[in-house]
Amino acid sequence: MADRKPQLFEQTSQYQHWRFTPSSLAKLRAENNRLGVDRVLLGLQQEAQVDDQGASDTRIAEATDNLLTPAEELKLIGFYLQMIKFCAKVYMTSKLLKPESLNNVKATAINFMKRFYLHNVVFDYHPKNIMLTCLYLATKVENAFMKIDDFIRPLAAADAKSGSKTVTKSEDVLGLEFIVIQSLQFELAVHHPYRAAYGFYLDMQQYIEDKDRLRDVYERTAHYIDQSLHTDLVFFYQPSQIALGAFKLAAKDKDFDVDLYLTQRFDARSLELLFLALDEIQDGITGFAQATKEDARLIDRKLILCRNPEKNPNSVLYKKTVVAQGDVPYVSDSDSD
Amino acid sequence: MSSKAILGEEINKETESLYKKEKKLGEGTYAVVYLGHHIKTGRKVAIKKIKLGNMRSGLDMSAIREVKALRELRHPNVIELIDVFSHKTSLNLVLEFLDTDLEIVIKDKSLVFMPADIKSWMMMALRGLDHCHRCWLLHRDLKPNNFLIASNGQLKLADFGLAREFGDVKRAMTSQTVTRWYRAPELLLGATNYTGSIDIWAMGCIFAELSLRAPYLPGASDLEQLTTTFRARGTPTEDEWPGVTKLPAGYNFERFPKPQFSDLFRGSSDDAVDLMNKMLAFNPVTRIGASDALQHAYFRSLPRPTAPAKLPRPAQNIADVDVETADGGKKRQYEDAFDDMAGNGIETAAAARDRLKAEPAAKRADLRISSPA
Amino acid sequence: MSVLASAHQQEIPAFQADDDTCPQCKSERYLNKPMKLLVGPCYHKMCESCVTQRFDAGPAPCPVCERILRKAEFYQQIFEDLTVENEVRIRKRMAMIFNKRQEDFKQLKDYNDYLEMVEDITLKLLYDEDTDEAEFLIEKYRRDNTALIVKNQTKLRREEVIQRLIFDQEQLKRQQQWEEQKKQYAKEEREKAEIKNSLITALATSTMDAKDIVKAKMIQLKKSSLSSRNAMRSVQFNYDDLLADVDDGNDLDEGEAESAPLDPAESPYEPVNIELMDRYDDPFSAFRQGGLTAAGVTREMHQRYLIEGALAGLFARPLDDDDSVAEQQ
Repeated sequence: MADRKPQLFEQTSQYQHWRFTPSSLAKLRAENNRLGVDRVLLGLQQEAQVDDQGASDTRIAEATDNLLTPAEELKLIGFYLQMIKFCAKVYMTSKLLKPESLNNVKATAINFMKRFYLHNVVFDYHPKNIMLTCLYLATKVENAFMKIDDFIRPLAAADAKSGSKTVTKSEDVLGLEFIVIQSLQFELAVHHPYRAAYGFYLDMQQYIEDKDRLRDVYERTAHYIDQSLHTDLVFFYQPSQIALGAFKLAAKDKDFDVDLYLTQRFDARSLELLFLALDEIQDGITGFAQATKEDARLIDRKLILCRNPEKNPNSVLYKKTVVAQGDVPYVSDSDSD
Repeated sequence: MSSKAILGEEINKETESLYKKEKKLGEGTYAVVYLGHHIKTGRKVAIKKIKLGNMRSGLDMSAIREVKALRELRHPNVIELIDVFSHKTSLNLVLEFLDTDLEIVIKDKSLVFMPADIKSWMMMALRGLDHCHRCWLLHRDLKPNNFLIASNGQLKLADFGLAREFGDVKRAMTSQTVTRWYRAPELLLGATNYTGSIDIWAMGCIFAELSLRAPYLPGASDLEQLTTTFRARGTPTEDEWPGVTKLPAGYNFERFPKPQFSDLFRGSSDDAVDLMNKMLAFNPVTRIGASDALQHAYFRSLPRPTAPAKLPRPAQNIADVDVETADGGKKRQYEDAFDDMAGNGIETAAAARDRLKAEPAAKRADLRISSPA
Repeated sequence: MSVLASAHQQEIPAFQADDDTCPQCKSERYLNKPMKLLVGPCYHKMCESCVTQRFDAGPAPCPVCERILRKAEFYQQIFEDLTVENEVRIRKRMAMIFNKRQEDFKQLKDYNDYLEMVEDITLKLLYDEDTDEAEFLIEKYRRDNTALIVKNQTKLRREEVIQRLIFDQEQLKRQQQWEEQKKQYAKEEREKAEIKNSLITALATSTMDAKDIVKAKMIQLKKSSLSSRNAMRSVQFNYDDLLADVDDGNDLDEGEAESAPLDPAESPYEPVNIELMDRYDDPFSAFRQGGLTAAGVTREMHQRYLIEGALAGLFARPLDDDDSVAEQQ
C-alpha cells in the first residue's frame, strides 16, 4: 500500500521550519539570550580596547548588573508588538493602507518580529527599530506596498508631535531590512487564522440553523484572533486550529455551541486530539498577559546599559570600527522608483 | 542545537559558504545569473544575484515575490529554489541549474517537433501550473522563455517575479501584467481581480505557438493586442462572455467572425485543437482549469507524450557559451509594477478608460463599428 | 468492436443442417460430409461444386429464379434464417461506408439526423424498394466523405488490434498465474510433507519432550507456508508497452517512466476535494459590486478558497519534544 501523499499545507515553510514545542521554544530563547550576553561582554571588551576615554570599566560593570533575562526580553518585544497594531491603523487612516489588507499586514508584521527574535537578541537590535522594519517588510510581502517616503511620513509626524529628539528616517527602516529578512531565512509566506475563520463561518452554515447568531459570533472571532497573534500559539498550532479556538471563545461570549458543528462534521477519532488542542488554544489566548508600558520602560532602561556596542550606531566601538570600514548598509538615494 | 548557527547573520554566512560562483551566464537590469556549484556535493546551480539599490524603497518587490513564492513551492515541474543568502547589498537566489528554455527550443529551426513532443511539454507545463494554482498562486508571466528545461528533459516553471496569491476577492490587483502576447482578454479589458484562468490563457497561446512554431497572437501594442486577439478568435459576444461589456475597458469593438480553428491547426489532432479552444475560451469562468486540462482526452489518447529524456533539445547549452540570455537577461517590463497602491501602478477602471482614450484617434477608428451590428 | 468482425475472428461455424441437399446436383450431406452449401443473393442455395461449375466462366442466371449472378456473390450461410443473413450482410456493407461516430458531430442532434439518414437507405435495400436511389445515395456519400471514411476505418482497425492485444495478454496473464499457483501449491504440499516426516523422525529419535517437539515443528510449519506465499509475485502486464507498438513512429522505450501507466494529472500531493453547498449567506462578500464574474472570479471559487483554508492542517498534530530536535533546519 502506497504511503499517504503529503498534504499541501505540510509543504509550507511555516509548517516545515517554524514549529516548536513550548520547551524547545524556551530553549531556543534561552540559548539566544546566552549568546547575546556573551556578545555584549565581548563587544564591551573590544570597546575597552579602542576607547581612549577610559569609561569602559564602569560600562562593563553597569552592563553586567543589568543584563536582561529571556523573560524580560520577551516582555519588551511583546510591548512593541502591540505598537504594530497602532501603526498599522495609522496607515489605514491616512489611506496608505487599504482596510482589507490591515489584518494580514498586521499579523505578518507581528509574526516576522517574533521570528526575528528567535534568531537575534535585543542586545543587538532594539525592538523599536525592528518593529518598523518588520511592518514595512510586511506591507511588501502582503501586496500592500507603499513608498518609503509615504511610510516615514506619519512616523516623522508623530515624532515631531511628541517632541522626541530622534526623528525616524528612511535609513533607519531600510537599513535593517537585510538583517530581518536574513533572520527570517527568507521565508516570507505566513498564514493567518483570518482566512480559516471566514471559511468556518461558511462551512458551519451547513449544520447551524441560527444564521444571525453565527454571523455575530464570526464577527467577534476577529477580536480573539488579534489577541492570539501576540501569544506563541502560532509556533505550536496551525492557523485553522487557532481560528477554531478563537471561534469557540467568541461563541462563549454569544452563548453559542460550536461543538455541535464539530461533532456532526468530523469523525470522533480525529476530534479527540482536536478538542485537546482547542482547549490549549483557548487557554493560551485568554491566559496571555500583555506587557504594560511601565514594564517596557523599566526594561528599556536596563537595556540602554547593556546594549551590544558592536551594533549600536551611537557607541564608541561602532563609530570607530563599522563606520571606518565603510560597511554601512547601502541605501540608494536615486529617484528612479 | 548549540553547534549550529542560531543568529540570523551567522546562518546567512553559513549558507553563502556552501556555494561557489563560477562564471557569469547572463545579465539584465534586474539581476545577474552565475553558474555555480554546491561545494560539498558538486551539484550544479544557478545563482541569481539580484542587485539592490535599484529601488529607493529598499528590497525590490520582484525579488520579494519570487523568494516568497519559490520558498513555498515544491514540485517536479517548478524550478527548485535551493537556498537564499544575502551578500552585502545583493540578494542571491540559489536555483537548480537548467540548461535551456522553451523559447530557445521553439526558435531552433534544426529541431523537429512531433505531436508527442508537444504533448509532453504541455503535460509537464500544466502539471507545474496546476500545483501553483492549487496553492492559490498566480504566475502572471507565463511565456516560452519562462519554461526552463533541465538536462533530463524535465520542463519547469520559472521566474516568479510577478507571482501573487489569489482567492481573496477583496484584494484588487493590477491588470498590467503578463507579457502582452500572452495576456488574457480580461486583463486587456482592465479587470482588477482575476483568477488562474489568466495563466491558462497564456498556456493556450503557448500550446498554439508550439504547434505553429510562431507566436499565435503577436500584437504590436496593447490596443493592437485586442484586435489581434479578436481577429484570431472572433469578437466575443455578451452571450459567449456574460459581463464582458461591464469590464473597465468595455468598448464597442469591431465584430470579427469566428474562424475555423482547424484550418490553421491542420497539423494538430482534433483533441489537441479541442483542448486549445477550451484554454482560449473567452469567458474566464468556462475556460478550462489546469487540473481539468490534464484530464482532457488529449493526454489520454495516442500518441503518448514523449519521455522527457527523448525530447528535442538545442545543441548548444547556455553554460557553454557566454551569451546574454537566460534568466537574468530578460527585460523586466514590469520592474516597477507594484500592486495595491493608490495611484501607483494599479490602474483603476477610470484610468484604464482614459488610457485607452488617449491612444491615437486614427487607430481607434479601425475599431468602430462600420455597419450596424 | 463490430459484431461481424468479431464473429469472423472467432470463426463461428456456418449454419448447416444434417439433411442438406444441393438442389442442383442433388448430392446429400449424408453422403458427402464436407459439402458446403452456399447461398446466392436471391436466397437460393447450391453446393460449392455446382457454384464453381456454373459461375466459373462468368455471370450466369440462377437456376431457380433466373436472376443474373456472379460467383463472388455466393457466400456461406451463418444464420439459419436467411432474411436475417441478408439483413446482416446489408448492414455490414453500410457500416463499412457509413462509419461516422458521435465524436465527429458537434451536436447530438446532427448525429441523430445522420443515423436516421443511414437507416432510411438501409431500409430501402432491405425491402428491395428504390434500390437504385439507395445505391446512388450510397455512392454519393462515399464520394463526399472519402477522407473521413478512411480515417474512421483506420481508427477501427487500430482499436481492433489493441483489443486483440489486450485480450491475448489477459489470456497469457491468466495462464501464467495459473501456472504459478499450481507450482506454489505443489511446493507447499512438498514442504508440509517434509516437515511432517521430520517430525515423525524427531519423535522417534529425540530425547526431548514430545509436546515441545511438536510445538517447534508447528512453528516451523507455519513459517514455511507463510514465507512461500509471500514469495509468489503477481504477474503484472503493461498494455502501454504494447500500445506503443501500435503507435506510429514512436519507438518502444525502455525507460522506467515508460512502463508505468500514465496518469496525466498525477501529483505528489494529496488532492483536496471540498463539496460546496449551493448557497451561503455572506454579508461580508465583495460580490455586491459587479464585474467580478466577468473576469472569472466566482462565488464558488472564493468559497472554496476560504473553506480549504479552514480545513488545512485542522488535524495536524503539534510537535512532540522528540520531533522538535530533528525539525530545526
